[in-house]
Amino acid sequence: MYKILVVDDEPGIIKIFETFLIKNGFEVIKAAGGEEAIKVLNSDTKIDLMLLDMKMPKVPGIDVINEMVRINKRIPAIILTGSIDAERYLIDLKASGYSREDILYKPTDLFELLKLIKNKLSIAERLNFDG
Amino acid sequence: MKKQTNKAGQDNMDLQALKESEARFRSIVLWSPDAIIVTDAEGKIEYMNPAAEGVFDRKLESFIGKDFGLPLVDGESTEIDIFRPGKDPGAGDMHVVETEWLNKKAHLITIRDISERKRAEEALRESEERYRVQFEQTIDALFLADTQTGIILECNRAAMELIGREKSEMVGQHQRILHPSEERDGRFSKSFKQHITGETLVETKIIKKSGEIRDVAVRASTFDLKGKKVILAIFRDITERKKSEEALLRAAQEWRTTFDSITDLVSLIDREFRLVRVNKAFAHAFGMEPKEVVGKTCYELVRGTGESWFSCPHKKTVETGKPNIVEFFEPRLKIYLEVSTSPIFDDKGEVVATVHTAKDITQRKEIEKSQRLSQLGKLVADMAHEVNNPLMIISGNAQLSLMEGVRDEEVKKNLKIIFEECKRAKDIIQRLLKFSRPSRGEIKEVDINKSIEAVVSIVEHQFKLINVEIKRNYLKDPPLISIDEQQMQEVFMNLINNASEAMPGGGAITITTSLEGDFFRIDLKDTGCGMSEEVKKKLFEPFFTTKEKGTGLGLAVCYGIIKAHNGELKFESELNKGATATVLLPLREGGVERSV
Repeated sequence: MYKILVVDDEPGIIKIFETFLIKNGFEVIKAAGGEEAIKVLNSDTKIDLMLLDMKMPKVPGIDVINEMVRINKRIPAIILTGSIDAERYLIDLKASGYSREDILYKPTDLFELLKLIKNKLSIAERLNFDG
Repeated sequence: MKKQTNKAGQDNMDLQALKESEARFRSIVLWSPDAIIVTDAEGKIEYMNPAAEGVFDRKLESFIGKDFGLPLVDGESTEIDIFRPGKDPGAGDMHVVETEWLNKKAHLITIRDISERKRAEEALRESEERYRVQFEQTIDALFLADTQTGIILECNRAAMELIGREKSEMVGQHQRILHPSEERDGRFSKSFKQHITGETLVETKIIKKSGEIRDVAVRASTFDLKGKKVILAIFRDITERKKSEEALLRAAQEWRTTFDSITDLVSLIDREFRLVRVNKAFAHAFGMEPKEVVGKTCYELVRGTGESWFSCPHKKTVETGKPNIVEFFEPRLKIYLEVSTSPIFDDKGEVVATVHTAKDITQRKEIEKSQRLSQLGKLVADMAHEVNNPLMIISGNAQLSLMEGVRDEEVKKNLKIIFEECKRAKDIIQRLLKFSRPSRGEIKEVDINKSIEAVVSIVEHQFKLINVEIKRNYLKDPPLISIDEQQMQEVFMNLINNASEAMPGGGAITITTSLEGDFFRIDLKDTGCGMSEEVKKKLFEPFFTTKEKGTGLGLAVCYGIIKAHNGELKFESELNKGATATVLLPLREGGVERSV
């Protein structure tokens, strides 16, 4: 069973993704912000994919990405944003191996999200993405 | 016999002759204008002729037998004072001769009254003295010179002070030594020659002994003196006067220059709305020179009307005596103006005129507009984020509910509506975000014609279906310019779509590219419905739209992008006569300013 880390500062949003992903057969680990996400990444927990909100108070999404690069733990990620701030970080994101196609804008069509998750996981499978 | 006769006759003749001679002498004595007096040897007066009465102004009888009272020396001539009782003393030339009178020794005294002559001489002497004193004491420098030789004959104290030389250093010298070499003309000074030829007042320069040069005004006239033709010249030092005149002139000029270098339109307007004075910028704004404008009324010149307009700030200032300021759009000059009026009061505190300053604030207005836009952009970006999270929750929950297998069709439909409307809200927000931070591409040198053509190729097929034709009028071999092509294509797409939407029944869009000074110019002309003045004014305002489903952001986004490229976006249009959108992009490199 794939383990998905959901990172968002809004509990209401985490609840939706959690419900939806569980319903679709995924295991969900929740992080209520960047700090918690970094804690999970640094633990032994094996993560297959991360849903990462960009704009969060204190520790924003880009810091989580940078931490991943720092500890050399490359996990497939879908970057969620309510704004276009992800675009602002596109250069950093590209440097970390992500692209414009990894970004989804809120509010998100859940089936579109599911399609992207499945797509990413199959690519990771094929490439034997580190994780 | 004959001799006897002769002798007797001779005696007769002698007697006759003597009588005649005596009568002659007597008449001479009686009629002589000089006093003739005879005294005896001791000086007692024995005879006086009638003239003596006049000279001494006394009756003859009062003198006879009296002592003459002055020493009498034979052959001596002396000048004597003559006392006349109750009158001014007179003077006489007295001559004394020793003679015989009635066989006794006597003195013959003749006295000529010279009182008048003496008085005249005295008067002349006094007059000469007076002139001398005047000549010497006058405040102006005076020079007397020979007109033939130019030799200075005399000068006064002021002349010594003016030239800084002693009289002895000037009198006897040539007059040209008074002037610096540039004021000389041959042997004489220029001014000397001018005076000789009849000019009375000339301005020239003198040189002091110290070498200092000063300005003088010289008035001169010629006259005869002791057989010579002489010139009397009065020099007045006008250096200070000239300096202050020049300073005044300079000050006036400085003011004029200052006034004229002000780029605002400045005018002085009197109570009757007449332009008393205007600067160059003011006159040039109407294609005239200041001279041509002065005297006209402001409303006639500016508005072409016969009276002032209702919110005329000048009128208000005249009425209230308080400064006034108004801002308005001037449709004929197509600029925004800020007009301020300040009152000018007379001694009684009445407003006699106002200083009227009109400033072109179009640029400031545009900056304000773009500032408003960027502030709005920031606000929109913040708002988008805040709104998107709750939207996510609404949309997500609606989607989850639908997945629960809702059986009630009504509820199912409502949930779908919630989901769809959230998508619509998301769309609007994405456009708002684009307006606040247009998507960015790379800045590179681009052939704008190709760039436009890429956009045209996307829409052309679709346009054919709605009878919109695209005509190309591209500049051959256009210079490459540095732009963000991705952004600029967004602009062209927007403008082309706007043009086609203005022609619901079909029409043509003509795309023309050209060079205009330092700019690359792109015109998009349509044959559509055009725009009213009202619409044109609000064109770039965010959320202003004339379309049923427009967001009112398209042109605001275009405007932002073009401004970031240091370019211009303009519209020319009249209602029902089509519209032309004009984009100007700087040709120079580095014209693009990037904002985050």
